[in-house]
Amino acid sequence: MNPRRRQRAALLLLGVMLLIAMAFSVAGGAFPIEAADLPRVLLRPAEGDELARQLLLEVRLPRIVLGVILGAGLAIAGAAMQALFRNPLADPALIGISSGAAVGAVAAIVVGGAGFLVVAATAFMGSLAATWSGYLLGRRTPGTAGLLLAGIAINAVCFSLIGLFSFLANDAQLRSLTFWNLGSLGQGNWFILAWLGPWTLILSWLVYRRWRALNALLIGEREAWHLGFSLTGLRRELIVLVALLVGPLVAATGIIGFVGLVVPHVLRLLLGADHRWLLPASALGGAIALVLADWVARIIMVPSELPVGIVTSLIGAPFFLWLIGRRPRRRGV
Amino acid sequence: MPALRVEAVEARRGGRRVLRDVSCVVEPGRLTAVLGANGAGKSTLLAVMAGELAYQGGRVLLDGETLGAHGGLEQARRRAVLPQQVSSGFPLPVGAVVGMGAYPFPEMSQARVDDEVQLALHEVDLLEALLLPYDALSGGEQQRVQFARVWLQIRAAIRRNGHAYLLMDEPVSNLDPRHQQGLLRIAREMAESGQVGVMVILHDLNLAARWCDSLVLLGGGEVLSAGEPAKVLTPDSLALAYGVRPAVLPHPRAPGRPLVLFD
Repeated sequence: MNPRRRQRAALLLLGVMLLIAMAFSVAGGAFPIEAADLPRVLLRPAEGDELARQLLLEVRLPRIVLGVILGAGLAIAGAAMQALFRNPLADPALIGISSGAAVGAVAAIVVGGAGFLVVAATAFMGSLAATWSGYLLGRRTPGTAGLLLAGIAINAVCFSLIGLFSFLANDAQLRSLTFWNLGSLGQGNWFILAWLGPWTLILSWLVYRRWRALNALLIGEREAWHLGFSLTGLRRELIVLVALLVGPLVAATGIIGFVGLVVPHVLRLLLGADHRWLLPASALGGAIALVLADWVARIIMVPSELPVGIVTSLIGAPFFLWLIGRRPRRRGV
Repeated sequence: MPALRVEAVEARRGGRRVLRDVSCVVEPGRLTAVLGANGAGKSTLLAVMAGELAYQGGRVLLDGETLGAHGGLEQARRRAVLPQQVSSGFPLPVGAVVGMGAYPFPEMSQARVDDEVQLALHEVDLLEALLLPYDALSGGEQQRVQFARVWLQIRAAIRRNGHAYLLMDEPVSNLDPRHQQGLLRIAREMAESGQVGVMVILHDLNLAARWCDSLVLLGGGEVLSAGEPAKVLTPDSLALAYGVRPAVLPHPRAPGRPLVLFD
């Protein structure tokens, strides 16, 4: 079959799977709603549907839409970082982007119980500061190793700062910090989504526009230069774009790991590494992964719920180990 | 007169002066080989000409303007570079790798790029690999795929400017004799069309003698000798460049060209 037709079919299939996952997720939870009843409850509510309708509109749909946005954004950020570092293990969390955002957000929460926009802005500043210092530090050692080492150092700094802020926090703040540290979609509401949705869409599109450059990076940094891409400019653009993409997401949900690592990796095995297809497929795949993880988090311990970050880590961390184990030994990082 | 011209260039790598006062020229219509012992500065010269490595003295002119004045994209629209060995830890389809040759030319339609990819793979005898992952190929096949990529880039550059330059770093090192010949024959035909100036780093002196119009023999970061094969490949200059003295005989199959034999 024509490869382009196959890729299009795969995207379509992922889209359908996302809709199915969303339907499952809307229906499941401490208060089960039959999937078959969804259209009626939403469009033509009968008597006795008020509670279900309110639950759907105020709680369940916002968190599912937040899951879609977060999963798509994290997976795109992960795929872009993996190309930039030419390393399938790169992840926004690995190079300090997420933890930088977390420092910014935690600071805002502890200093004064700030609203979402303030937390998002400080999270963005935190992620930009972390990425930027990673970039400056990493440049001293040429190649991938420098940036990865800088990421390790920045993560260490960030987690000690998060620890410091947790120590300074009062009890109520501490509880919200802990919850936030584990990662949760529970804070999703239409106000946050009205900002986060368009923001994530625009930045994802800006990353997607660079699919050629990302592909060229996969065969090498010199080769990307030979094909007309300026490496310094490209690195700077991608780092800023990813910081802008990840910062507000972290502010809304906390650190949710491994989605940016696992989803692009699996899709690369299935569809190949061409970013023209990999980026949209990752967006859809990330959304599916998060919607399903959130569904599991809600139904596994009814009536209470698990933070979704724990679910993604429980699934993602063993995958990460397996990935390291099966990687062929190669020169360099 | 279009040319890629290196004028009295001095270049350093890691603080060490690798090129001192090197001049050479790549012109459309000519196939030029760069020869020399390990560490003679061959790859550094290519990196300077490709705009990868900043040079300290002299200048490099691409069609009359310095590389810096062109910028990265404009250089890519005028010259293609074939590196020694390109590996990718990622499962890229061969067709996508070859199609990268069209990246500097976003004005090309997708259908056009698809056609060119097929032509390019046909040219290197690998059309059947179109959908395979690049990583699954052998080293020699990967080298041919990369050649197909620069072939596509060169064709697009010719359509735009009427001429182009191709810089290759040991393109035949992993190839069997048939594909060595095949690749050098294509390079030769490109040059003979009058539209492409080709520069190729070669370790095999006899391939250089057999296929190239002119040779540049580097040693210690300087040009030891340059010109036609018969003029450059003398026992004296080769002894100076490599530290071992070869016998140089007339080529039995190519009149006027030398055959070099080391013990």
